[in-house]
Amino acid sequence: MKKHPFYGIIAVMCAMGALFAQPTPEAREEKTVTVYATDSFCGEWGPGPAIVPAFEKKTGIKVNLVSSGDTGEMLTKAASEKNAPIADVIVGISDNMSSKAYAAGILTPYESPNLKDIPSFLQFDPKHRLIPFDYGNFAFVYDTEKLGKDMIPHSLDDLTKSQYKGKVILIDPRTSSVGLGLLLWTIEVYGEEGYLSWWKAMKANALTFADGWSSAYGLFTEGEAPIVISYTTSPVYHVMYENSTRYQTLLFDEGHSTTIEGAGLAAGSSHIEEGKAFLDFLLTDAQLDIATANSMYPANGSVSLPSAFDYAPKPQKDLTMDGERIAKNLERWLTDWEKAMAK
Amino acid sequence: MRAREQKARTDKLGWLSLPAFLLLFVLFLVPLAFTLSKAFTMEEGRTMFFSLFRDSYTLHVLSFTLYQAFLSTLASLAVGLPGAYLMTKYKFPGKSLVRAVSTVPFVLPSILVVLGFVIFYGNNGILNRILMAVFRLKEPPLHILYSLGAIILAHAFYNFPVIMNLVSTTWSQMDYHPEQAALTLGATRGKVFRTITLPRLLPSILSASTLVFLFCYNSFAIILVLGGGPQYTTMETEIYRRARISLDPSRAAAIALLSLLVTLVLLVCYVLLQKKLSHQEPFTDKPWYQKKPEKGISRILIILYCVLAVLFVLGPIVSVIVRSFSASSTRAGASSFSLKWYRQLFGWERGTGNMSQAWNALRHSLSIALIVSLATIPTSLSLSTAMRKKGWLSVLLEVVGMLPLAVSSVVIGLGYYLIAHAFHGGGYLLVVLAHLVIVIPFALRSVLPACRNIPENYLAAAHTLGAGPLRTFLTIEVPLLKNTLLTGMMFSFALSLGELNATMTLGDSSITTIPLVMYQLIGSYNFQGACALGTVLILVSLIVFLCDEWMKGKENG
Amino acid sequence: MADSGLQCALKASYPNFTLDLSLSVRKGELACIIGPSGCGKTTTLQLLSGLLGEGEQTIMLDGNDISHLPPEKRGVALVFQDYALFPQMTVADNLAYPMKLRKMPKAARIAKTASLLDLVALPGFQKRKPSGLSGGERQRVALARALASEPKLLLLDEPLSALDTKLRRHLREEIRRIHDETGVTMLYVTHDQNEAMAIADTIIVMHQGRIEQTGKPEEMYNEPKTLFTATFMGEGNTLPYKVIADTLVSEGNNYVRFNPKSGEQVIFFRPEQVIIQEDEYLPFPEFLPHLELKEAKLRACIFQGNTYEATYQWNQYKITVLLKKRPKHPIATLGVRLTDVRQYLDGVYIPR
Repeated sequence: MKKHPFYGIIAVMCAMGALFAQPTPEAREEKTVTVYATDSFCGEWGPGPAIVPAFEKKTGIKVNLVSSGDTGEMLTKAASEKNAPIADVIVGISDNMSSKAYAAGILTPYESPNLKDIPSFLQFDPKHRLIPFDYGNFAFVYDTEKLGKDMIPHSLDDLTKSQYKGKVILIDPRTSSVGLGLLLWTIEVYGEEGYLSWWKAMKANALTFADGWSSAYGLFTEGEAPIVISYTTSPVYHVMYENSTRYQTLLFDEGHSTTIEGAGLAAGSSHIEEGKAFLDFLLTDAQLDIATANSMYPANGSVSLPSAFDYAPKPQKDLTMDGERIAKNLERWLTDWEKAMAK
Repeated sequence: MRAREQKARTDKLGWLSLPAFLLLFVLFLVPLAFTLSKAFTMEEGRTMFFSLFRDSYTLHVLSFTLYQAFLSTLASLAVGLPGAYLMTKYKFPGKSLVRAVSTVPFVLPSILVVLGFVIFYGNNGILNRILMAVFRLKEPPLHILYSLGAIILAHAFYNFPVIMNLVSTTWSQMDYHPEQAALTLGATRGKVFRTITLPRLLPSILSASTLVFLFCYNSFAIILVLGGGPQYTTMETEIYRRARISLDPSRAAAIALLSLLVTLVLLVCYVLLQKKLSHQEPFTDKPWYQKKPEKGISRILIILYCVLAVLFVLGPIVSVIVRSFSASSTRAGASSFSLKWYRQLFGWERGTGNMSQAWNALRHSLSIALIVSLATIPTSLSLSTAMRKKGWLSVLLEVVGMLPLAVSSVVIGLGYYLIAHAFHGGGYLLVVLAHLVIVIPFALRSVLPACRNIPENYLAAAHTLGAGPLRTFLTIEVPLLKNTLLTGMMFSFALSLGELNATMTLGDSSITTIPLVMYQLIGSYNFQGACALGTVLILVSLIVFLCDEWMKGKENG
Repeated sequence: MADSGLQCALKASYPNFTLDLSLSVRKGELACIIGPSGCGKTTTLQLLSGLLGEGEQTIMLDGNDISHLPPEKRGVALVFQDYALFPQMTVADNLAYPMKLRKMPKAARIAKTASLLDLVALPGFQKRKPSGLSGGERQRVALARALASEPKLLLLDEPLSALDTKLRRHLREEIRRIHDETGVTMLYVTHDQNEAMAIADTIIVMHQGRIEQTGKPEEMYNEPKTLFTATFMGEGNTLPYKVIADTLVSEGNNYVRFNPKSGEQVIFFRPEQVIIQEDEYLPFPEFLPHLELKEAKLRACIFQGNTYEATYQWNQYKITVLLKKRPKHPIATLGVRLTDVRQYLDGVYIPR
């Protein structure tokens, strides 16, 4: 009588388990720094892969780069570890989201000596809990192959026209700093009384409200819709790496809101010296890589940019909102937005 | 007198379940309770939780969640019930394959499902491109995604196999003589189905529907990405936003608690229905006489159903597989056939960024899954000893055992942060144990009914021959359960492979798994690499399920 | 006459046997099909009811050809071995089911249900559920339900085999009584020949998909045309012809011999037809020609209440004898009247 295959299968599985499971190597005693950064920073196309080896080579400090999701997720992760922090450096908190970071108490001030090369208008945190490493303007980007010249919008109002039904990819401001930037942009342009009507009008035209910039831009390049909210510098990437001018920025006369990305030393970190070294590196040697990989303007004014950056049009007006104002009203704006959009 | 004595003796084995319950307790109940207790923090003099009931927005979100779950369940029934009929009545080539393939989506991480959907059903997806080419259209004709329809479609895709397999299993084991009797009494086949078969099938249909409802209620990635707008916010997404983005743990906990109460009601219904099912009808050993479809109509129906199933189920899956073979040198450039991602996956080519992790991820995923699935055997067995008896206590225990299934994955994720912290950062063992907690409800679902079905005479016979409760359990019951244990094991293996949430939170940086890398790849917009990993997952799951089908086939002769 | 009742010819192939038979049942008759397990009895019923449809069939019922009709249109009701009551419904609902199909109004349904339940001796059982009934009660409900559909032919598939002996005896009488009161044509399948002999008008013996013999019960028992029928209908003794060929028969002082014919010949006689002569010096009391088996040794004797069943060994053959009194001696002469001895050549009866 044939034995039930049961035992045979168990045996095979045990053998396979023994084959596959390997003990994790012992942690070696050497200088390390753990960096939490957003997924876009760490990803294949981000600055991470270029910066990390360069830093390790220069300083001999091993970098443990942890891809931590979108800004919000990263903040949550860091906040939950507050009492026994694993991170030494947190990279990728923009000025719009900074109030949340301060409130969570996950950062400790560090006035890097390299800050002298950073223009003062970029240093949005007087206490230097967050120091800027790149900046840019939000703008809508479009696919020249899918949107004819006659269809080009010139303002936020234009986008609400019925010809763009289902053609615009927006981002949820509750889950993404880019989405938040767009929200603040509309508040700047329309004021607190009028911004919600723009959003309500856009409900019909939005293909979807993606949860973050990566999925929004991913859907855009997948061809799901011809317009997406992104940065003025987005086309630079395609020119530099793909020799393609297919994607272009839409400049609006009313001005574009700004974003400054920052990084900071984690509060309670056990590798303070290594963390500081990393931040210093970020402000100097890493600047070119950051600019080219992120397609943003480097904070360090002394860096010279490649010619591809000519394809990033400079807006007439920069709209920047005061950090205090954001901190005070953010929850209320988000709640109002949520309620208006849910109907 | 003797009957009562018999029962008492086998029940004494309840203590065997203690380690498993301890595991559930420490890794699940305690963090859950801790997280949820934040719902009772005071804010402005009112407890957060109770103030929710007055918040119209929250109630609106709750009603939408219930609404979409309801519609999704209906859709799953609409697709699954005809499938159950075909599976029960007919024997046709490729039947096991159909069943195995249809089960695959269930174990895939939902980000992969979403990806597949975008690639297949999107505005620029394969379906639209085919239609545009065939009918020479300028604009894509199908706007399926980013809407309520997309949510329901994706949910039905995910869940109809649950209906199809659960219902057809019960149906094929039902005694068919009453149906034949009704025929001889003069009822037409349609009438027989309506008046005799359907009432008998109802408990199993309801039970499967409740399960599907629960899954759709807790659905997350699908709603977030495919829904397309804040008007489609569900409780899960709301909890996510409050917890992870607004960093408002008390509000998140309050919403989570409210959500949990609703799911508890559903879970209790499900458990009660299951108990009713197991006592309802004696199983027959004469299965339905399954015939090959002869008449024209039934052939057409089968073909039609299969074509729809192909579009429906295979569409997204195949898109993922096809995508994995294309690579473009640039993000916007044209893509061509390439094995690049597979070369990187298997370590033959040095991958950049996240792909370099892929080979490690594969090893880790497989080893974790192996250990988890082996561990489900003692765990589910020991738990069944406590849950098998009649009475309210075993109902309560079964609800607890099924709880990981019902609780929102975001809430569990919150709990995981706490656990990781308590255990100083997490690690391999923690990930394995967390996976185990997650797969327990599924393993239980197959082992528990089989356990309940073992005729008491067998146990009584063993006792009279001199075997005590433990020996009876080990030497009589366990061998009888071999098949269901194997099924539970296979399913747990596949589930563990596809698990994302727990691994993400509880693993430390040395642990990467396939879903984790997939997630990172999608995040950094390497869709093709993600597809390659997804393909590996799909294939492994398919092989696992086919093995299971093969074994079930051997058993039935 | 020819256009009422059941006439059928069935031919079908199965893995274990081939079915090839034709049988007929007169209208209003109760016929029993008996045979060993696996001979095709249930299959025959399934083919007649239309639940199975293979092979070539010609089925005429009351003058109509129902061979190609689906089960629901044939007017043939089937009572299953496991009763097949609808578990979700009460007894009344079970009975009303076929009535509802025929669009009987409610008042008539209630009245008919009551009268059917009276017929099967289960008055007042309307609200009971099948799960709460005993085996015998379920069987009667199944019968009542089948009758409620006013069938032209009622098939019963081993309806009593799941019940204990005493209940079986009682219920088979009930079935006969119900048959007589309703006059429905019934075809009843069983493997118990006593049951068949007790209630059937006609018995049909089946063997490996074919009909061995059809006839009245007494005919089948006393004059079986085949050896199979003979051994199936009841206990009997079989001896090869060669062995007794030279055993002589006494009729006073005359000896009569059997006709020798070629082939496997076998003789057969029933246990109750054997008389024993324990005193070797005395002749048999009767003067009719007898078969004498001398010096048979008594091996066992079982008391059965109203008879004794004694087992003798004659040469190396076992002979079973039914006696009114316990045998006193270990050795006896067994005798059988020649007229009671039946001779079979290759399993078929040959008259002398």
